[in-house]
Amino acid sequence: MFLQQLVNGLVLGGAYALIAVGMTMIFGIMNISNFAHGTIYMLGAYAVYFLSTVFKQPFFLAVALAMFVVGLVGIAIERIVFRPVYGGPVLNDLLIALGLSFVLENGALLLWGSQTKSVRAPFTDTVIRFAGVSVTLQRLVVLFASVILIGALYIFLNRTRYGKAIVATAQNPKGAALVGIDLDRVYMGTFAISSALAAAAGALLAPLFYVFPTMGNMPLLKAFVVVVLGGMGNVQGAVVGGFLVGVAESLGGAYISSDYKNVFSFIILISVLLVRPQGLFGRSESA
Amino acid sequence: MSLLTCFGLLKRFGGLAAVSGVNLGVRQGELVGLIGPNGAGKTTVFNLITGFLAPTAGRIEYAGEEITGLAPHLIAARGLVRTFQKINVFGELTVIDNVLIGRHLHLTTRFGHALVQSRGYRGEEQAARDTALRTLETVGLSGWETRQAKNLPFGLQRALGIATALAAGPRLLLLDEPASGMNTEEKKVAIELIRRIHRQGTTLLLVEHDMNVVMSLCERVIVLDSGTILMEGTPDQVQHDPRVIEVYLGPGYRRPA
Amino acid sequence: MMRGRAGTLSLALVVGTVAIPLVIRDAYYLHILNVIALFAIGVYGFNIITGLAGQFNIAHAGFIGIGAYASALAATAVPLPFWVALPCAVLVTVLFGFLIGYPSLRLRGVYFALTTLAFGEILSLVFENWVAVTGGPMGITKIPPPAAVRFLGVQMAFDEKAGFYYLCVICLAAAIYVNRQLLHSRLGRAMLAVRENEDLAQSIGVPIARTKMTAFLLATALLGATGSLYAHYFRFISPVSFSPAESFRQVMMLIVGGKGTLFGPLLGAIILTIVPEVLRSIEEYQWIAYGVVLILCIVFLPNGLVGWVRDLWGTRRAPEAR
Repeated sequence: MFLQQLVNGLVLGGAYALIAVGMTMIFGIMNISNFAHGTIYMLGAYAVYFLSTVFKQPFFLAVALAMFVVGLVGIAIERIVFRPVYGGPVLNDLLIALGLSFVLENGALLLWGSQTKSVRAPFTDTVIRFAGVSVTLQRLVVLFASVILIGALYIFLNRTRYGKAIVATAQNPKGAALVGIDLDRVYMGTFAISSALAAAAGALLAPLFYVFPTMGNMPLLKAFVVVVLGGMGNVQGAVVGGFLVGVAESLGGAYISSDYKNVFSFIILISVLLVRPQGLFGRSESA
Repeated sequence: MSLLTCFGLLKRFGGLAAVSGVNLGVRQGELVGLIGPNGAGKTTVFNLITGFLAPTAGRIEYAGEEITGLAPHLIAARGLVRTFQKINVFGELTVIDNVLIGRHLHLTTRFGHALVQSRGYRGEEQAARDTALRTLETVGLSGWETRQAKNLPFGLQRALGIATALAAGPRLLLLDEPASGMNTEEKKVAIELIRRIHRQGTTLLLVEHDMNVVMSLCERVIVLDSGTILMEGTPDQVQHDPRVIEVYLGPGYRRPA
Repeated sequence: MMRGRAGTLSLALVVGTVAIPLVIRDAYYLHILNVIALFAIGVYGFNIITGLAGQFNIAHAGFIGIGAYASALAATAVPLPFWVALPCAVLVTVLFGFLIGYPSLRLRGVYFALTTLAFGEILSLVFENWVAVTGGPMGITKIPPPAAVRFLGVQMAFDEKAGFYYLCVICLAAAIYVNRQLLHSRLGRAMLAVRENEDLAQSIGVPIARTKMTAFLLATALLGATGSLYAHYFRFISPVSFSPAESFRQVMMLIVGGKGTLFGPLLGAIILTIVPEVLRSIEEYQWIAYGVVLILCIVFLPNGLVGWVRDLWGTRRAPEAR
């Protein structure tokens, strides 16, 4: 039972990591807390629903396309919604992100209805058993895909020019601008990657859960907890934190209470704020 | 009498020591300058003294009391106030409100008094306004009271920043590049203002890049380079010291505006 | 304080406000006014923490819910009269404000907003699932209205809409007065300073964490009162009234009206109560419209309608701080 929940937790954690990584990047590079991130995740799920069910694309192609399409949506959001409020008070960023999440969520509701949809994926039926644990192949696929995507992100950030430009901007925006890095492109790229990853999480998880307009709310919260736990702006922290939160939630839900499963991440949040606000990997800087 | 003393200040960021082995002092009534090339650590020293950064090692004493590691607002409450190089106004608020906030430490009635509009409350508010208006006059901002701070021309914004700091009634005032971004005329006005503040009894420590400003104002100059103190002396001594010249690439070094 | 034109205008407003239930007899319109006044009290609370101190409390409706459930339980389970239940509700709500504020307000940045975001969801969860206490989705029914009171020889009943109107108006006036005095006091200015520039505020002696906490405690007190009034007016409460979506609508009231202004919250409450009523036929589109309006407001009118008018006006009558 413990091992079973552990595996479930890791699967969940991989998805949380994907969502949180994008969120922490946007925070680290642009100092924006993207409250609309949960709706991006939701769009990824709907995208894969339409692509695989209506357009009958094979699952993995649908996931890739969903990432691409939602990545473009992310760029559009950055240019249209967030760009006008750069440099203003933080409160305005938060409010506008909240407004955006409402537009997207209710837009989805209007367009596609409140009825939950389900996505059939090629691996939902196969079950793998080992060491007393049984897990559907689909879940394992989610886990592996998460790990692969995170790995791809690492390679991108550390080995490509564009990626290194993004990292440089996160560490020192003014310095980056001085050496000729195009901040506009960095911001666009950050939003594109962030949205694509969240969409991937939504797309990969879609066959496991239902697809409905408000499905992004809980993942948004979890992602924030992960980001705080890992250290705001810290990508490694988001990855490690994602798995930690996933496992904690899974174990907590199994051993303590299933109804209040979502409370565990809240408890983690408060604990981090009380004990080590900068998170696991953050620097503690006074003022 | 020594008002401020720093002993062996060290500040590390990761592996990098931004400031190390800094011993400096400011005596009551002095007007001291702190200069150094870009990245020398001047603002870091300010941040350490005023509690915005905690030193990795070292001690800071002010008016006979150790203030190392105290929170910034507690240090301000003891009469040590600093200004900022960049944004030094409350943008959305009016000029008069900016300066009124500077009087925060000197208003003592609690909010309950404001709710019942007690005589004590009303008296204090009136006194605060009077002081604020006088302070605005000192810095040359009379007549601008109801303008939103963010709509002030740049030079006046800096004056407002100084006014707010002055309103707090500091014993020691730390000015972080008060003349940066100003043209020659504005600098003359700033120099006069700082002299006036000094004459009125406030001890001053200022960070400045413009050597002319430093020369006209400071009795003593401390030179910082790569986080350590290179030398200190009169402006004249400093200007002609070969080590300082080397560090600045020539005497009378002007940083491009 | 009362002089010349401003004085006459104020007097006219007061007389007009008092006279309304005598002129308007239609229960429906009185109900609308009551609802506006009720929510406005909450928005004035929201204004203190978010408009003045600049800290975004996303669990706005959730805290109103705490006040509502606390008051409802006090009045039905104990039972306590409304006049005791109200202060109890305020205390309970303020206590939660302290518990949530303590870990998050002493930190700089978005931690407070995040914590309230999470807390709002938790509250929804608890309201829905803790059936033994909150009644779950069915909520709490048969909440008694405030008992009648003899005041200066006059019997005042609050189970009628007209009676409740006066109660709301008095509470609303108090809420507006608190906001006004904040704008003219050291505490309020400290909040504004914290909102505008925390570093600068600290450098002249403003204690950041303590100021934010004070703002939040004042705000939650008003939210608790709003909740209590809500519970004893509608006499029925359920989780749906205190959901994150409801928070959003009330956030809109402040943003559209004008955050940080004195009459913005009231104007916002009026607009965001009347417009949904008038546009009931296209109810499904209202939420998406709200989202769009919010975005447009932040981009074009960050200080809301009242702020916009005031900017047009040009000069500022001195301490009407933003």
